Amino acid sequence: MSLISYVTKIHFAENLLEDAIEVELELLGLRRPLIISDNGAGRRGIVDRLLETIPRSVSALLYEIPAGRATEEACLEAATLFADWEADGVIGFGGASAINLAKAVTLCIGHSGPPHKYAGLGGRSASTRQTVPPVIAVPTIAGSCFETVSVAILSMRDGRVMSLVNPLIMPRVVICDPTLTLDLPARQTAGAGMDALTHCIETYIATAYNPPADGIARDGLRRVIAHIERAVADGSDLAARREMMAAALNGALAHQKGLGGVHAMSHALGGLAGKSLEHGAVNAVLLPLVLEFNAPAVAARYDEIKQEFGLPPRADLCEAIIRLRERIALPACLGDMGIEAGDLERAAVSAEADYSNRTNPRHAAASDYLSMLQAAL
Amino acid sequence: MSTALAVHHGPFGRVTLYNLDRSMALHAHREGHLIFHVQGPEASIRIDDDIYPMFGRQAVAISPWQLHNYMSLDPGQPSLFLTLYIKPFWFLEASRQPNASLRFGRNQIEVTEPIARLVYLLASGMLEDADDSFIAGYLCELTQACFDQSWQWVADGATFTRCAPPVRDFRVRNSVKLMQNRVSERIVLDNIARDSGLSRPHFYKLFRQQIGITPNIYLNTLRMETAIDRLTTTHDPVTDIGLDLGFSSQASFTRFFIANVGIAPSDYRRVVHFTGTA
Repeated sequence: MSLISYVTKIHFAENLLEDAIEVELELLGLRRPLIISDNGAGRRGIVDRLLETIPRSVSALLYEIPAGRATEEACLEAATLFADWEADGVIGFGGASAINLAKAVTLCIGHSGPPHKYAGLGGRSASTRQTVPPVIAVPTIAGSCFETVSVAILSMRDGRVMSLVNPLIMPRVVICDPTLTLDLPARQTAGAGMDALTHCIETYIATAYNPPADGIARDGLRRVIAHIERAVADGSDLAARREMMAAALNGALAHQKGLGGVHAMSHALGGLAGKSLEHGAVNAVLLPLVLEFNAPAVAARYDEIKQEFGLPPRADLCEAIIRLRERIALPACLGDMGIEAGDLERAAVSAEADYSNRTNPRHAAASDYLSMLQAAL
Repeated sequence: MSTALAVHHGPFGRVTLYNLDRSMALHAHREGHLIFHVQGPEASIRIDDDIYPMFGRQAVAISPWQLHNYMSLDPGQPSLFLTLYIKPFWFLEASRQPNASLRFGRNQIEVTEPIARLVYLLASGMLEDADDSFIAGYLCELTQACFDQSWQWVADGATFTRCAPPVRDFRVRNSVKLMQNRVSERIVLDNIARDSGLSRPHFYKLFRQQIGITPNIYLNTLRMETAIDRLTTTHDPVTDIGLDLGFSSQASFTRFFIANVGIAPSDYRRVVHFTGTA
């Protein structure tokens, strides 16, 4: 029994992809992996690099997620592909969509019915089988990719956002190769970096008690603050890329402590039909508003976060985050990202129900989320 | 008269649907306890020294060994309650808090939309004999949601439950062990005090200090647990169970059971349902 569980095997080094993939495929005995990617046409180079890495004795099938969104349709489509092609494992290659979908697909394999049957915490996982095909997670952005998390988030057909929570879907191996992020454009680098920052801050102030996660979150925070602007300004700065990938990994590792209101809302907005949002950029808009809302509930921890920013205790933390967001040229409001006033009410209800809302330090109802979303528009 | 609509026992502990129309005696459980008002007139519940209203938007979470009782129920018009008794160890697996005692941060729980939905799913699932794994799943989610909320900050301020008891005196530990071993006999608390090496007043004082409740209430809890266990796992006549627990007649046992559990022993036995070892 463990409440604090750190067991995932993680490779972390530059130019490690080739060696690690070969070794891990062999160790897991995979001969026919399905590769799930959300990198899109713009990043064909890294996808080719992965395909060239696959040893001759192994045949891999590539599935590119339509529009890069982890939806119920994509999950069922990939699961059918997996079964028809007789795959034996999944490589999640990309951002949170690819890795979440890889995890969700393994849960659907061998189970009838829609994926939401297996959603939910604890008890309901009793209705799932004891083993699922293994997942190898390979992040290709330095934002949190859920690579060390036993949760998969899917946008369902009915507009809801479902969190599949099941210990079985934890990736068996994570391969972090910072050179895979060298081609990421500045805008996405900025968004992913703010996502990593949000993960570190939200887990750090989350209600649960998990001291190792606190340490990991704070270390991640330090790395983002020191390197995000360098990585955005010069994508070829490998040292900055490495630090950002480390920070993102820290954010994912701290996730087991629980997230908060920013993610409750960005998961909800991510579920809006037909909208393809940049998760990190959305988080960057919402973060200062949630920090302000949470202020009465979070005492000393804001001072500690300010220390990492190099701010004096009297300084305004929200202000510092807004300034950072401006310096890396991310949008200041949700309206700039195609979200409309009519979307907010449903998103607020969905945010209240999101599992991240449960560990937000201040109790927040749908009406609180609606006010914050309106302020963010 | 109070009646039971459904009772489920399982690895999680137990969960009940009761129509209550009479107040109960002060009592405590070793499980984490959650009470939701499903329908009927508003009632209230006393927990330690505070009184909390019980209606649709307001539920309560009671930590193990916290004293409580239902109050101000309408004898003519029963209220329907969904009540969870969650075993801390079962919950520990799903919780992120390093506290095996399932101690809640505060007693008052706001019934948010997601919580209301889970209460509805659970209550209707129990009445319709839904798939066992779904009942266990809803129970886990509902407990998690309430537990997490009880540790979140709210504007009205937090009425925190008392701290976990400090390390216990070995004599008090002994007395607890003695009571557990002798629950099926007629327990005389004076003897328990003596056999634990304490004078009667000192025994009561130390016990109260360290366990948080009086020896009498503790003994009642043990009797209640034993009674529920025998009612649900054996075919022993109700009269025998009562006599074995030291009650002089079936009537006095039934009175005790109603005051502490809420419904009659035969009623409990009639509706209990075992949920598999999910």
